Amino acid sequence: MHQHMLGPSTSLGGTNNSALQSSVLSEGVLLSHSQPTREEIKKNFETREGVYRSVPSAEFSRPRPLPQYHMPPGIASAAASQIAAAGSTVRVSFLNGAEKSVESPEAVAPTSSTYEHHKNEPNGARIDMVDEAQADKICFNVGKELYVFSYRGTQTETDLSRPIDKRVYKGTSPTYHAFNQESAKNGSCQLLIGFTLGQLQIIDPLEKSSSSPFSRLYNEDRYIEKTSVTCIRWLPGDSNIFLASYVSGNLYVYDQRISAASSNNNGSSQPPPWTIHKEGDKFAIHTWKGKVQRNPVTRWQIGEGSIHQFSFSGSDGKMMATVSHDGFLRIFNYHAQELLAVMKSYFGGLLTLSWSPDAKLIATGGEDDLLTVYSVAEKRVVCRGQAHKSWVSQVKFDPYLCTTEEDLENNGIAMTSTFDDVAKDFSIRSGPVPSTSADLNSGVMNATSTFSRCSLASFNTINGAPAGNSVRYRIGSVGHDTFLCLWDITEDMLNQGNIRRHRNSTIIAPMTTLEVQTNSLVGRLEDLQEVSPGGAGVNASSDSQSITNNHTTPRPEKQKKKKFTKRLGFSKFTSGSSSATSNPVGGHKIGTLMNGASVNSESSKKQNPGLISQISCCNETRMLGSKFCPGIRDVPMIEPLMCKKVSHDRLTVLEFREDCVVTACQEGYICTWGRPGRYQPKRDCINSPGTASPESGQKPSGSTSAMTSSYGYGSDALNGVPPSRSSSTYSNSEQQLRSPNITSPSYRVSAASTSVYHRPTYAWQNAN
Amino acid sequence: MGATGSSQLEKEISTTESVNNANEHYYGLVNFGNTCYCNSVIQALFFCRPFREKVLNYKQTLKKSGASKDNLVTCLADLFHSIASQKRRVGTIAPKRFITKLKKENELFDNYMQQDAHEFFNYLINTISETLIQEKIAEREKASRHGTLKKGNVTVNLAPATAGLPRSDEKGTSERNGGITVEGNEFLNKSDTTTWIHEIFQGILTNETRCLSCETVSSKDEDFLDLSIDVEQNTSISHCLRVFSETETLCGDQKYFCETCSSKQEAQKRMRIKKPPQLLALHLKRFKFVEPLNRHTKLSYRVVFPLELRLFNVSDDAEYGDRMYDLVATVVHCGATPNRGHYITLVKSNSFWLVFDDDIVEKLEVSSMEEFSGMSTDANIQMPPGNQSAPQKNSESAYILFYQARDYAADDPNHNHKGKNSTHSV
Repeated sequence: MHQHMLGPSTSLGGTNNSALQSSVLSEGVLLSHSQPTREEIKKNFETREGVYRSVPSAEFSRPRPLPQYHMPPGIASAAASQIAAAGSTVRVSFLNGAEKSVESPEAVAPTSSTYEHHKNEPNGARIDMVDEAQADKICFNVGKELYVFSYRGTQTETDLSRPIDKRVYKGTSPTYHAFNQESAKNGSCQLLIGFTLGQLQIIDPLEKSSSSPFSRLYNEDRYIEKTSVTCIRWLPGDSNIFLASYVSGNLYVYDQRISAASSNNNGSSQPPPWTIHKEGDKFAIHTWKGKVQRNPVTRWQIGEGSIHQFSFSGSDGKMMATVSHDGFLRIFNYHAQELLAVMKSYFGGLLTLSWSPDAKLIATGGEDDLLTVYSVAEKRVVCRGQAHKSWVSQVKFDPYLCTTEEDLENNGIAMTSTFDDVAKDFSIRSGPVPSTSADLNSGVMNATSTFSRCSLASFNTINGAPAGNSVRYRIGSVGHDTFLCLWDITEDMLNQGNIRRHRNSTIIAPMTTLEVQTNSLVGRLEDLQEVSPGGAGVNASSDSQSITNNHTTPRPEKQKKKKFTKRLGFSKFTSGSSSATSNPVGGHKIGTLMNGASVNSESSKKQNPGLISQISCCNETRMLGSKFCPGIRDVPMIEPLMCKKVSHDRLTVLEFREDCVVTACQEGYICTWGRPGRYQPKRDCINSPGTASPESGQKPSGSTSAMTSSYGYGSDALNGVPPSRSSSTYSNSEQQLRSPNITSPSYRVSAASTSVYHRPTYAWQNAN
Repeated sequence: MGATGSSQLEKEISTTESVNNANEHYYGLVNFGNTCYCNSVIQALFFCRPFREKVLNYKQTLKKSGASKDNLVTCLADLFHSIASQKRRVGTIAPKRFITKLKKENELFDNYMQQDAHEFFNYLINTISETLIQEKIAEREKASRHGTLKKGNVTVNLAPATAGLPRSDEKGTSERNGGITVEGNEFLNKSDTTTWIHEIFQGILTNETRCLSCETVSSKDEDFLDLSIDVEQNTSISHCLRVFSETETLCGDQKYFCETCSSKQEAQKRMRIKKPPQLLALHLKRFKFVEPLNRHTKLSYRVVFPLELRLFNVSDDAEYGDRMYDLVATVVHCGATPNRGHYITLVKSNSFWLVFDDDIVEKLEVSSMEEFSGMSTDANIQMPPGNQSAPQKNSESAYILFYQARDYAADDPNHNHKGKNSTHSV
């Protein structure tokens, strides 16, 4: 742009000059127009671990690039208003390649050799088909369209003209989609798609044979559900079960093994006859009355209004958490179908949630513009984060930057020999204790007091040690404000005792700005603390309640240390021995405090369902200041590590991957951000000289370079090299979904015209 | 259009209505030529239950006393009464008398031009409170002098719609509008100037100024009946409220005269809410005067508004600082410029939402509320999932939001909130 500015003064040749001048003029106008309202969109951002850089070659959009990226805000274009008709929220889903697994970062690391392989190929002009089958897949929806591409993280060389699959739906739009990771094999996979009109479809975008394209439909005639699909998940550990949540507040469980058609084989247009199987506080679980199994197998009615998102804990899928329009986070024991805990937003609906990798924490975001971190184990809000200027649309834990207690255990970093000894000591002491309460107590007291001395020491070392040696969680959040925020949750914040200390001295920086009134707070927190260990204690049997009481009786100043002790001690106990479950003393107590999963399974065994509903929300949730919804000054308000505007439009997607971070916005623009050290921008990039350094570029120019490079491939394909995948792509898109009911809006895959991929249709080309 | 449309609505309502079938009426208002600014505000106020009840109550007491008056309040009361006493649940009604009276009372509205809905809202609640104050004064005079006070000629100086700051209301309405005669002032005391308009809408802002030289903090309270909030692109109403209360530094020619220093000093100033009102009326300043163009333009920014709201920008000593609000009504401006376009109203009644577009009343899915937030990029608006109708006119954006305090609503038996009635399902 600056070079252009020089144009007129250095009087070049006539025609050239005028062309330049006009471009300068228009750009000048555009700039001045955009200045007052627009902040610069960042192409990289720095955190304590280094710089994340946008990877231009790994940007995705619909093949027809969006013209508004090359137009100033305020100038509406025909194409832009075409996008305006686009309906549902843009989502992104990934299929991890054959030899990878999502769960453990370590397992992913070796596959970088695959990337090396690609790098060595000359310009990656032709993608080996075998490799392509092994590569990760990315799926995204924009408006009525759905695209599947190969994805190689920062090594992605996007060819937007050659999607693996592209579908255009009529009358209904995809809202959510998920690959069946567990059933994926080389060359075949299952992609589950939910639609605005409530239908569900399973397709195989990798399928080669075009004669009988794989497609299975559920709720096709909308008898089961008429509202829009909001979220979709495959049940962890069972590749046949999937779940879909709806705007109506229903969540359905489907079993692939049961014929899809059976849902309407009685020929009636009546909604299926559900019978209540289980009921709790603001939730009900329905099943079929008949003996014949039908799909959907189960219906969960949860809360009031739309279920915005739901998610299973870790890989075991024991717990399912939902967030709803009514502002509640609900945590269920999925298999026992019991409500374990609830949390209420400060105000407004909750829109998103994410489990921490160890399933101890849940982060939520919603219409209160806040990030809220909830401790599943302790059943309390740990902290809130305020930085977004609008609703938080997606939160995610970054599994690659979370250091959980188990990690510390496994790596043996934090466990000093002293500590280990004491832990053993503790287990020995508490292990053989007879179950009379007096002995019990003394045993516990002894153990903990030994413990606390030691843990204090280890606490100091942890505080002094570099990051990575202590428990730490990284959370990312994106919002309607177009900002990406990163948050670090440290051990300090997690420890309730520490929070209390901090609050009194207002050490935590954000708290000072709030001018905490300490006096009233301490009282409140004291109450909280009394209650919180009993979160399980309330509903657990009476003997564990007495233990709780005994625990809270010691002098208050020791309480903090003790709590910390338990924290460190816990994982040792559960992983090291079975004392957690076998010993009702230390085991139960510590389990209660620390491990959500064990508490829940344990407590759910002990109590009947009626008790659960009693302890859940009822009056308490309505009361501000309860641990379900603490007052704004009752919990720390944290500030983000980083907060940057990364998009023009509101952000809808945030994914953390091994080598990169992926964001997407409502315009259907998917960006890849290389992690520190994982991506070096190519300085000699042929097609985009202006954006060699990502620091210099604004989004429009960056996207130009992405388009230009993809363009090369596009023309390549047009210049005689037939796009090998495209034949099946188009045959796929000619496929027509049956729609037996005429009154229900027909939706079908339209025959996508190949001309979409022709150069002349790139409207933005003229803008350059 | 009324007949078929309203019967459809009637059907929808009867199927969705909950157990506590409040005998609610949904009546469209006929447009008398660019009177949608008026219709939209009246509909919003009709569904602010505390306001409606006071207005209806006014009519009743008037009837009891046997006096016959003809002012804007009685016209409004008659209109509300005629809606509430209709046999059918839905239909249309012509607010002819009210409009005629309005045009007669204020020449500003005596034309067929498009007016600013917020300006009308201000005028209406100020006129009502002034009328009530005058009546109180008259009553007092009557009691003391055994005579009647000749009704003063009320003239109102309207604050321009774009005036950023909420007007001071501390000394009652008299100071601001100067509409009350001098002899009336003798009788003014706190109880005289506090009408039910103030009970419902009035909150207190505290204006804290810290002199950067002597560090002295001085605070001054001022009353407000509504808040006018600056809007930014892709933000939420809570963010805009936080920006409203951000600390600003007074320097240069804006320096602050510090009493302690007895001189002009640089100072920091912030304005926070000390007493959140029962009914929080938020006016989004979407009409901005652009100097070079010499006219107002509309900011169609996407500003999302939750159905539940708590205030972040309350002062430390605020009473009910964390009270929960529920959105009860929203006046929406449609169109690209302030002078052209249209006003509609979104209203919550019982457990569902309705759109009032002059004489047309339709049900609205909660999930499509976001549609009325504005435009996120300049030609892009989200269509709600499930809504497959034609693309929305993309400049439909919320202009006035009415949030009602939940604790207040608890006294209102007809108000059905989700968190209230069905909490104990077991």
